[in-house]
Amino acid sequence: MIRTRALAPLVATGIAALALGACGGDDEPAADDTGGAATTTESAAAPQLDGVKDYLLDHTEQLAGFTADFKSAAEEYHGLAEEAGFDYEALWAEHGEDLGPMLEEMKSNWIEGNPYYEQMEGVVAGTPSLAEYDVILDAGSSAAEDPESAVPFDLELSDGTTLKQPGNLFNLTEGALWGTLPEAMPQSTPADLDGNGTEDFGEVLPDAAFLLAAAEAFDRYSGELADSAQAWAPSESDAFTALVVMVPTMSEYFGQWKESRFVLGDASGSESFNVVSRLSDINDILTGLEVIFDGVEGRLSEVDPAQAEQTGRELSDLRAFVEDLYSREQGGERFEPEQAEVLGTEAQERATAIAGQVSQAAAELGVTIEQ
Amino acid sequence: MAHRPLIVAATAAVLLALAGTAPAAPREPWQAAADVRTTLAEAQRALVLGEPAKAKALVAKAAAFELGLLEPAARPGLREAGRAVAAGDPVAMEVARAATWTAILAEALERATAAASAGDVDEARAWLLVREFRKPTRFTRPGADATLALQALEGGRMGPKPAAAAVRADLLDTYQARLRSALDTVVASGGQGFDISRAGAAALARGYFATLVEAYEKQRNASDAASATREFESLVAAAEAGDDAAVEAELAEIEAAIEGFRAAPLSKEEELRRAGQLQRFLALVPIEYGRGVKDGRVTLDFEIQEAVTFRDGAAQAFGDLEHLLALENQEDTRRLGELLDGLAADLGAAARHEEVADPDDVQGATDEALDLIESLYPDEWEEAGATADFDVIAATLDRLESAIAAGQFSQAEQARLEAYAFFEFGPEQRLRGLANDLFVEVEGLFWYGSDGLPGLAQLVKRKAEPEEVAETRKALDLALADAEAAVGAGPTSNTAVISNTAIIVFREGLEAVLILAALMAGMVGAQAGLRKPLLLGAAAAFVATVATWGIAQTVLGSLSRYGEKLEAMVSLVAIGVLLLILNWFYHRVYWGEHLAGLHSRKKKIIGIGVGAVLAQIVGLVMLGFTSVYREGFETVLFLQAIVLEAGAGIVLIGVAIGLAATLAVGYLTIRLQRKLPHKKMLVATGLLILWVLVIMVGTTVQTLQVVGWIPVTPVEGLRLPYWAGLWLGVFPTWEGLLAQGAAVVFVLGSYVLAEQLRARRRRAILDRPLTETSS
Repeated sequence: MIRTRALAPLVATGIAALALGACGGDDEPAADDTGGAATTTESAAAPQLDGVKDYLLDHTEQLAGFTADFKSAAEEYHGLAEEAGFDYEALWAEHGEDLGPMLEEMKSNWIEGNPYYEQMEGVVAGTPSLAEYDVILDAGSSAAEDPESAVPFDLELSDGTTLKQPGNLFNLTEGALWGTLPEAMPQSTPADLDGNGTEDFGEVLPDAAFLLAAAEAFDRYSGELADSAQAWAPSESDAFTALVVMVPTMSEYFGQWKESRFVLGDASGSESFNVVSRLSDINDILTGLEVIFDGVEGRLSEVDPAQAEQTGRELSDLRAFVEDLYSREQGGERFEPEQAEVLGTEAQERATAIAGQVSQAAAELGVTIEQ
Repeated sequence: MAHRPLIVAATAAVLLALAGTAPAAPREPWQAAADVRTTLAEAQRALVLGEPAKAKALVAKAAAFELGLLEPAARPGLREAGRAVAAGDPVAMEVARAATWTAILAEALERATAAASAGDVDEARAWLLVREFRKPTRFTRPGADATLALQALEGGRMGPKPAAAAVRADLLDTYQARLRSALDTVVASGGQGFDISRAGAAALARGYFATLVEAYEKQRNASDAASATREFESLVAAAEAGDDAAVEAELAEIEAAIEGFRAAPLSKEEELRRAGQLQRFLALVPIEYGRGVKDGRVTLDFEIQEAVTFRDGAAQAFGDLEHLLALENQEDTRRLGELLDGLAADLGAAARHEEVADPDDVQGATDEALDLIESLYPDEWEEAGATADFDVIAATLDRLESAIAAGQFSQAEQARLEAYAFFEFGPEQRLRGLANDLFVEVEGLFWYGSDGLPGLAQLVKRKAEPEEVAETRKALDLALADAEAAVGAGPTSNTAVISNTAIIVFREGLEAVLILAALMAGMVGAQAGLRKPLLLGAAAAFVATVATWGIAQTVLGSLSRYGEKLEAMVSLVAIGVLLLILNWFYHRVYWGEHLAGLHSRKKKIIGIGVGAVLAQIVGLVMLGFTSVYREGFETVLFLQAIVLEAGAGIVLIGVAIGLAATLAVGYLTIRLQRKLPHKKMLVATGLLILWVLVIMVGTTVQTLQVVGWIPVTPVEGLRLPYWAGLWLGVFPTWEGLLAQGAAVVFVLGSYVLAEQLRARRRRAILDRPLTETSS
């Protein structure tokens, strides 16, 4: 009896202590009643983003097909080089007749394959869950150039050499095929591929081990991108983020165009973007952005039809502006540096306006633009 | 009659002709503006590419557009454009383009703000479409203040005047940024020999300044405004003439003229926020830098990047406040700017692995800058640092999300712990006193979940997808926004502050009081003397707590980020001592009788016995000290923050109530225990200490996880109510649960062992022959 009576108050004290604390303040999380932030506008029409995903999957499939073929060609070239003991003089002497067409075909395929990615770059680079592939495939630098933007992979060659964070795969493969790799990379050997008596720009025998390693990595990552794209569930935030994120990217691309061989010719010190003009890439990116914009335009029109119309027009005007420049360039017209400066700046200003307008639209709709 | 068909045909032709030349229906302002801009751009392209005829036709087309209300603004520039193409002059054409466009922007700004002021949302929106934006970068996005202000006006959440002010502020801020950018382009283009771009940029700068001149005049005076306007005109003339020297001279004049000028003055709240950001971000630079550098080498790149982020944030805040600080002391403000630039150079060199500055040098520069800030800040900005905590938390959470997206989960966890530390030693202290419900929600989202959403600790541990993390982040942002509002609003009522303070003191003090009371209850008879060392330790801890309060205002404030490590260390010592004392407690009957037996033997043994007693005394003093100081330290941090919010008087009332409650619990514990038979008292004491030990172990494991000394391994699928952590120190991690389990096993094992010893002794006594006499 005594035990029970003695223990009970003790237990009661403990319970009372707990009760005192529990009753004294409202410890339950309050209902969320924020009213400060912009409220999401209710709308019956959801963004039509299935088309964006279909567009992406079409292009990832095309890219994967290209990288698989590229890898096969690199394997064949590697086989020949291996037979020659990786002596490129000997390789040329023995297989010169075959190497010319082989490498020209690889280059031709590379040029054809480039837009497969560029046309979806807007989606890939602008979508947080896919953005790393943009770094790997197209936008990432080497660690030596810019550690902050460096690619996350190393390249291991068949001879045991490891190249740490060497740069993005489009740049690496372009550099190998056209002989524009930085000095720290395995260099290509000049060769008169077309037999015209001179070793012109781009006529080189790539380092086979390097080319194979780059091609294998290219194929691997394009496959991973295809898988990730399949798993991707596009959101409104992804769409708006892509539209805004790509603008500073395009600004950089215009800057790169101004520094490339297409403007500066031989005076250009650029190691990349010397084969396919950045204007082509910009054009392709804008194609992708228009697909994305089409997916959200309906949603935006409900909130602000004038804004939607304005942004749609700005996008198509910019596309027309770039297309005009590109077609002139393809027609053989070469721009003086100052001309490129004036024209490129105009394009950059238009892109800035688009990013601003899309940001307003996102704010009105309460859509988060990811960092 | 024969002429009728002819007349009809002629009339029809006239009507058709008139229809073709009839003015088109007025278009939206943005359409008119876009038509002019695009067409002039095409004209310039044609001129630059050597197609003068096409250029002339395009300018003529632009001049023929129906511009409506934009007509008066655009007409002078269009005339200039006509003259430029007639002369085949691309430099003049670029200037004319810029003049036309900026005149349109200025007109649109006035009309948008006037419409907003009149409450005409549709009209304001229509004019707001004719605008520019800040250039986005990899890390910044254009703001939407004006757009959201109109949305709020439409929804009745904002009045016309504030909405108009917000619209004007957004646009002025944008054009000031564009002015800066245009002046930078003048310099860059000049360096490359691009005369067309340089002249165009100069004309843009002139045009942007024209939109800002009214604000400039208000802040300076009419004479300065007129002088500055002349300087911009001279800049354009010099650029058009290709006079490099004159351009450079005019640029210098302009820079001097606009130094310290801010077109869209910050509100008082924004000033305070920027002031807090400058202080808080700057103070974090050497801390982050120091973590990323060792022996002259960069060891952790992400820490350097974090230092860069905070420096850039501080510099941005400085940029917004510079004009105000310059009014206090121009020399000191300039020196502050130099120090920030110096830090940028050092951090940049370290980030590129070019040169690694000594962390002491970085600290030294930061300290000098912080001293300047302290001297420059007005009184009302003195506590601004606290307001920046939420910005620091947000910046660190951004790093978490970036790390997640890059698949770098260890870095993500590091960022999570840092963000939580900023919260715990920043807003949490005040939040607990002001809005405890929000504290619970934020805590849950940082750790193990809240309202059906997983916590960030769980998400990082299981390497969740970025989308899932983003969802929790979004909820956390909302909760932090509410928390910021609550902290910024201050206490809602004195009663709320008093009750929350009392609960904090009671909860923090309960553990210490229960340990002491439980042990003291058993110290009766021969053991009564052992109460003194226990109380001595407790008293010393109380004095130390008061002293901590004293230094908390100064030193501790800047060391608050290390406070959690201090708490962790004190907690570990407290647990260690408690386990030792617990062991002693259960075995003291044996010791006591053993010592009594030793008294009849030699002095040497008594000496050994005295040494053992001394060890007990030291242990008890340590137990008393660590039990009280561990709680006192944390309570001081809470109370310090709440005092800042509500004042010392209110807080002291809460403290008194909380202390009274804990002491009452302690008194009741002692009274009740003494009424128990010895064995039951032993059991009750053991249970109480066990309960306290379990809580201490649980909360200490949590603290060790916060400082990153032990990992966090959430128990998947286990959801515990918030009070389990709050009152019982029970959190759903393997580390915590296993440690608490081990503590229980240890305590019960000690009790069982003590009982076995006692039983053995009883048997020994009972088995002793009756003829022996005990001494």
